Amino acid sequence: MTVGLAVLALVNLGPISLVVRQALSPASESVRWPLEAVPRSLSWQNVQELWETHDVATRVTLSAWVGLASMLCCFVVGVPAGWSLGRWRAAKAAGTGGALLVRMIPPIAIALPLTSTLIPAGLYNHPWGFGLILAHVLTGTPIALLVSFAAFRDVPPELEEAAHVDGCSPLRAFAMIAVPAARGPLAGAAVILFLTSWDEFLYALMIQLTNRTMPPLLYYYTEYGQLGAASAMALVMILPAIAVIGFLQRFVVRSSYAGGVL
Amino acid sequence: MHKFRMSGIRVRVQRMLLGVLVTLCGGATGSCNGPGSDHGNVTIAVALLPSEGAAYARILGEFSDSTGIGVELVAQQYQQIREALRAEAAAGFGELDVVEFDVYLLPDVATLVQPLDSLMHTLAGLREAVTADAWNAGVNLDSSRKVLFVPHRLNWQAMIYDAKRLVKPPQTWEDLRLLAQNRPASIGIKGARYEGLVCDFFPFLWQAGGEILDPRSPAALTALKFFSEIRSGIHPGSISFKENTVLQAQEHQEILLHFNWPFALPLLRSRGLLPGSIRSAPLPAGPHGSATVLGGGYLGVPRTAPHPIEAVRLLEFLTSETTQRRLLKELGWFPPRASAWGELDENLRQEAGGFIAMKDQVRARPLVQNYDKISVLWQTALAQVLFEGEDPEGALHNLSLSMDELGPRALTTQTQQSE
Amino acid sequence: MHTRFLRGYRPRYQRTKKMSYAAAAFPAFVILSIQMVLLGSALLAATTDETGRWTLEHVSRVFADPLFTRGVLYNVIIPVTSVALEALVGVGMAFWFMSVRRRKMLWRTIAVVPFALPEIVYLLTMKLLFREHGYLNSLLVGSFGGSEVIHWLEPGSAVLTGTVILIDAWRVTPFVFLLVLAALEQLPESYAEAARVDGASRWLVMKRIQLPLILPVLGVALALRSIDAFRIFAAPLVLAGVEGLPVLSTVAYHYRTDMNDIAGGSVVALLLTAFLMCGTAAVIWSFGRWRRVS
Repeated sequence: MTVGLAVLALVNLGPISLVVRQALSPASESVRWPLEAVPRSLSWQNVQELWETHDVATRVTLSAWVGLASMLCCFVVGVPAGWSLGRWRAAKAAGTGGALLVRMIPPIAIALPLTSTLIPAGLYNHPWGFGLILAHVLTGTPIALLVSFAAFRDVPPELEEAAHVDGCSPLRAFAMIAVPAARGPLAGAAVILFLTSWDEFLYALMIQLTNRTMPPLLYYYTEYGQLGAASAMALVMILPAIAVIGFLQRFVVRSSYAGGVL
Repeated sequence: MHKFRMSGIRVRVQRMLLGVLVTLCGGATGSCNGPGSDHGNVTIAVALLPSEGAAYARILGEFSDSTGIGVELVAQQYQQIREALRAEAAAGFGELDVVEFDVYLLPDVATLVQPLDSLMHTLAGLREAVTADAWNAGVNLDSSRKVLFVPHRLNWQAMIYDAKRLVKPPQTWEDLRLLAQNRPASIGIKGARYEGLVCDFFPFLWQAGGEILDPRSPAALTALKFFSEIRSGIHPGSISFKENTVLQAQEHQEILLHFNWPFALPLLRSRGLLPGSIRSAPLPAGPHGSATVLGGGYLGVPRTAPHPIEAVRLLEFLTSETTQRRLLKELGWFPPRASAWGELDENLRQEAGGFIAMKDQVRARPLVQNYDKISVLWQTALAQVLFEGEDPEGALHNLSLSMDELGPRALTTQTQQSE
Repeated sequence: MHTRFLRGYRPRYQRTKKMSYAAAAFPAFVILSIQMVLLGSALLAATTDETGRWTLEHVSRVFADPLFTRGVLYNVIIPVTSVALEALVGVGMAFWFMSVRRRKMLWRTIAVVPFALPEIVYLLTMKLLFREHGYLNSLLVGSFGGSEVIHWLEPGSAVLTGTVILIDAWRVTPFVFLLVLAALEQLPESYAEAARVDGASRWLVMKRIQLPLILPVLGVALALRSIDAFRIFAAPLVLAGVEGLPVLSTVAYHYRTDMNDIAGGSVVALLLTAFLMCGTAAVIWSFGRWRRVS
């Protein structure tokens, strides 16, 4: 039992501890041979370098803004759709099937046509990241749709019918009754959508050239730059995610299974 | 009942208005400022290492102070700059005022930048101060011979080796052959299917007396045979090595030597490896002497640049002798102007000794229309010989046939075309 | 008020309901259609030459490239093995975890941590772990002595394939584990209790009762995950490079970025997309049939 738990802890926390080690030790520690698990010296040099070389605060803000905005837009688009598919028998199969199929499109297939479309629209490399938000909405809507579809199936339609008797339109019933009833799974979906956007790399690399979000910057650092500073940046990326997940973890699991996310 | 119907319609109308509003906002803010953009400044895109950012920004700051023109610096890899430039060209408007490209990408982006002949006043002086090879790389490929790019910094390859485990680096082909026999898997080659692979090979081709456009010559066979002979000494990871991954293999002491550009030096210094454990040396010399391949960053002004006049002033600043001396001193960037070398300081000599020794043996890749296709053909032949065990004669034969198919026009250099 | 139930009120309500559903689904429909349009654009790029005429030269060029054929091979081997591994280990771990009694919340949070780790960070750390002079070999050399290192990431070797499979499976197993665990926890205790009262061992309870009950619920999620696994991109790229261990996504990326061959890249990407979509359709169809039958 304890062995099993220890293995679980090692497997899940191991990569993070390596990142922490890289971030807090000087670069020369990483190229020693043989490498040592515990570095001989610690230093804040990497964190300092990160702070000085790039305006990290702007990048973090942009990443957070893009994540929040794309999550909200995915919700606005996907949740009503999931609800309607749950209630509307005629469109159910086509709708969910379509969402699943579209979810399977690999980003690399549509990244270039998307960029070519964003440019004339003035959304390429936008300072507020609108083009990137659109790209994330494209990837996130199927997930939002599928999760809310599964979530609203558990909400009995009788509640909405009853509300209707009191003079509520179907859409209002949706907003005021169905959504609050399904807030657990929807919260989980919110977490997943935000994290997917926060970590997303391919579109961010192609669409945002000068106004970068964090993942391409991290990639740029590790390709040609300092591994230590890259690890420091990785820590910046991980910490909020862990905090959010810690609070909402019980919703995350059910939502991800419903949305077929994994 | 009446109330119920009205509320339904009202909701729908509200939704529609919201949608329209959002779309309008999206379009309008296309021209608004956000946290990252800046008005009225020159935007320059350069391939900088993260460690070089601060020093380069300081030099640009001097330009801003003396002329009052603000400069926005964007650090990107050349491929991303190219994609961004293509995107801006397709849209007809853009943000970038000055762009830097590697010399082998210049033919690809030539149509996206504007000629500098009438804009830049210091061109004549610059032309005289740099070598013909370096200058010609930036000049238009067709008969108009307009100046499209000016050299910002020059690069060439040298050997980077592990000074602790390899006391005497190989100085001739024979030394390298012996090393390959005695120490298997100790040589790193940038073997991924990209330009870097031929950059490792072309110096050897030139050292054998061959030419890139002439695969049927005996020299080409000599060079390719030599590579085939040192196969046992090449590290198997080479099949996918690029500049950064082969450098990492060197840092982690997985290989004894490899060939790379000067960008490696500040990275090695930051890890504490230069000049103690790792040093640079000239490429091993061949039957026809020594040679190395020219690379470098070239600056151009895009056709869609919003501030072309200020951009040209920045170009004049960056290609001036004082700035090039400073770039050499602070960043270790090799200046295109021969006179900017000046008195070499001891640190530079120690760290970049191998590179500096090859200063006068730098040769450019041919400036032909289809260079990228020719390069791919050579990459295929090399990959076949190095990693698939194909014999050099067969590979060269296929290469010659494919090159013939490209047509004679594709192989004439620009000087021949303009005659 | 009772006039509401007279004279065609019900049909009007149905109409309003249908219109609301349509309005609610419309934006999502637009978003999904945009992606299909973009896919069509990629198809156009893959099948036209410079002059705009329809051609198959890009397709034949791609098919003639040995990198592509190797890519197809690895793109089958790696996902299939990886998913099998994840399923086995994930299910096993979940059943084992059911008997954890103390500090369940803490352990569940630890179990969820891989969700938080961006893939690129995870892969770079794994690269540092598995490279020739990396942490793992340092540990081995330190413990067992000697100077021979294991070449975990040597291109063209079976060890590399195994390592990449392991690393990819390692990242996803916690997710499978959590899903199975959630499904198990939904099961009413009574079934297992009844079986145990009758003297069935834990193993039998698991095999005959719990597994069949959670499988329908999990089946679709796992099947979708296996289709998803064929989209693998970052792991082979970071750990081995395109030439070291090609898979379809990385080959498409390589054509586009290194070879400047956009048409070739589109061909490969579209082939992958077609395969994924067929696979998904097959899963949905067979799941639908199974549901109707049972």
